[in-house]
Amino acid sequence: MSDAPDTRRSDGPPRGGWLSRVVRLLVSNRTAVVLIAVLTGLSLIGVLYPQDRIMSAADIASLEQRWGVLASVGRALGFGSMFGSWYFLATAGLTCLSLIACTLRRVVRRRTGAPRVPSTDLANDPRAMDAGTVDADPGHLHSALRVALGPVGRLARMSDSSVDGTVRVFAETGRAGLWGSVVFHAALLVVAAGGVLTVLTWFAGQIVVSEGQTVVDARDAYMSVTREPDLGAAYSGAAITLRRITPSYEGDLLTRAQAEFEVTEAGGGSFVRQVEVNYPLEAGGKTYVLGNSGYAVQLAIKATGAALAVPARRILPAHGNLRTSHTPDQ
Amino acid sequence: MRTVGSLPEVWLTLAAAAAFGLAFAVDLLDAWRSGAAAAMEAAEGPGATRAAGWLRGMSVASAMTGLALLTTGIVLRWIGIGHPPIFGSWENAMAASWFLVVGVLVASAVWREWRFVGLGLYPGAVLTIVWGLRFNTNRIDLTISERSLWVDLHVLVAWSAYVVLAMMLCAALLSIARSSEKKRGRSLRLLRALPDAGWTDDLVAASTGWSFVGFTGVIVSGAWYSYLLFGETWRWDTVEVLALVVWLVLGLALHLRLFYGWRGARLAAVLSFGYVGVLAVYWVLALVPYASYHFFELPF
Repeated sequence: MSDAPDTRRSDGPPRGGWLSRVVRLLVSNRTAVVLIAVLTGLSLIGVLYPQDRIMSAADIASLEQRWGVLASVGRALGFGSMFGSWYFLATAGLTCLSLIACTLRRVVRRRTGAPRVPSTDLANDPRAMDAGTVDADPGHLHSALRVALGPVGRLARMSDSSVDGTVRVFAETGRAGLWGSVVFHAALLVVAAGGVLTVLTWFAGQIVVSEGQTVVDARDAYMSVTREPDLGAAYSGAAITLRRITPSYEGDLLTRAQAEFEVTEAGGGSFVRQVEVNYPLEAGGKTYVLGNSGYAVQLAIKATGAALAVPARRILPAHGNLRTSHTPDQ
Repeated sequence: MRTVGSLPEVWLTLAAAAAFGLAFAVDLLDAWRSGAAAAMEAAEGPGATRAAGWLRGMSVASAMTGLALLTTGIVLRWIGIGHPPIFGSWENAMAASWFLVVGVLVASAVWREWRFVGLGLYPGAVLTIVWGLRFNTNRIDLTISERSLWVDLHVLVAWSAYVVLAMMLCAALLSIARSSEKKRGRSLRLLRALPDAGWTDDLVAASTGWSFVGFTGVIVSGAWYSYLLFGETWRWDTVEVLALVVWLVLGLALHLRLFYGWRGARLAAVLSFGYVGVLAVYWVLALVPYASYHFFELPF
């Protein structure tokens, strides 16, 4: 998460206040690597240990019976809901902070001029190359190095420092490459921020709408609501009308169900969308995904033996168990 | 005993597997001969042996023949069923072996130092086809949710990344072999003509970087398709999380190399561990019903 080896010793006495110590910890490459390793390990446990969200109570009981102490220890440590556990979220959060700190450090270091000449022995630096001792003026050496590096030399930055009377020239290449890495890490931060926002504004529910029916996005329009947002409004007030739905079959296989929706936003604007599997409807800040499509129960209400509603009409080939709810007039 | 079936693409794929097997055998012979030649030249000087270019040509010709047969099979199936081979383990085996062999041919044509990768990827293609035969080879329509160009793109990116990951594994295993040679103080004849330790490190680094990029593409394209299908980009599905683990392992390896100078067997061990996750993501979890919505296996 940084372009230069971290040559500063972190095992000496702590310098500065707690804040500077925290910052030093966050910009450290070692911290970044440890956090990635811990996140990897926790995710792996989350894969190997059965998660509560996909297990029934009977499955959990069976697991505890089969694995005994191991399963009990896992449950006690919260492995069953790994991805909602405080330690997983804390590790993910710290990784994001490390990502921010390391990315900022790289950009700031790059913008503040000359590259840092490593203060420790270059022999310990995996990317250092010892060209031997050259008796030359540093200025001439810079020019000679640029020629020797060829096209890369145009991208290299060089600086020199005098240690015990010996001038050491340090060249750093990969200026353009830095920005690829910075953009990539910044993109990860955007994804992480998006994840946090999603969790805070997450809504999940099921809504049932029949052909010709209009529903207004409000609590009572939903058959079930499993999650309401912690931030922002849960319901948009948009009016959604299902104009028609057209199922297509190949033999017995439903291959397409295309629904035409008309949406009138709470602000007054309206539009029409064709919605089907893999083509969701986006309206009022929500994404509506077509679930089971096309069929609803039709009730035939009878009074004193006389039918009041039109009888259900079969419209599908070879699907005797499915009956349409399509009753245009009643 | 399960019968192979009468579909032409199955027989074409089996013939292709035989051709890939032959390409592997020829490559093996070439490596063996080249190893001996390298040892002789080291002892007696350059020009002591004559390079056996015809072996290389025979290997490529065999692989190209197999690829032509496999491509014909894939096209026949595609025309017959109306979708690319993306559904079920048999179609995945066809697609994976096609990508593996194309990967060998392209990489070895463009970069000479990657020629050795056929020693790993040709048998990989054969084993993949044999594995695929364990499953339903019948032509089956796509389910409604699979009928999307985004699925096709996701699969295309996934198999492309799979090839680079397989190349990374080959380089990592070679790196382990080189470290082992260094420890024992003598080289294996079969490996003598293959890239040396320095080259191998470079190949490991390059393939890890490209694997990371490719796998990022797999996750991003999958996340977008997940949004279109479920309205959520990330569902903590088992396959998704294991893909995240693989991606983190690759990222970890890159950071270990860059900041801590990890090279050779140590880095190769990390990458090999990551590749176990790759196999689980692509082949194993997709066979476990209810573990993931990436379950595409169809009963006989």
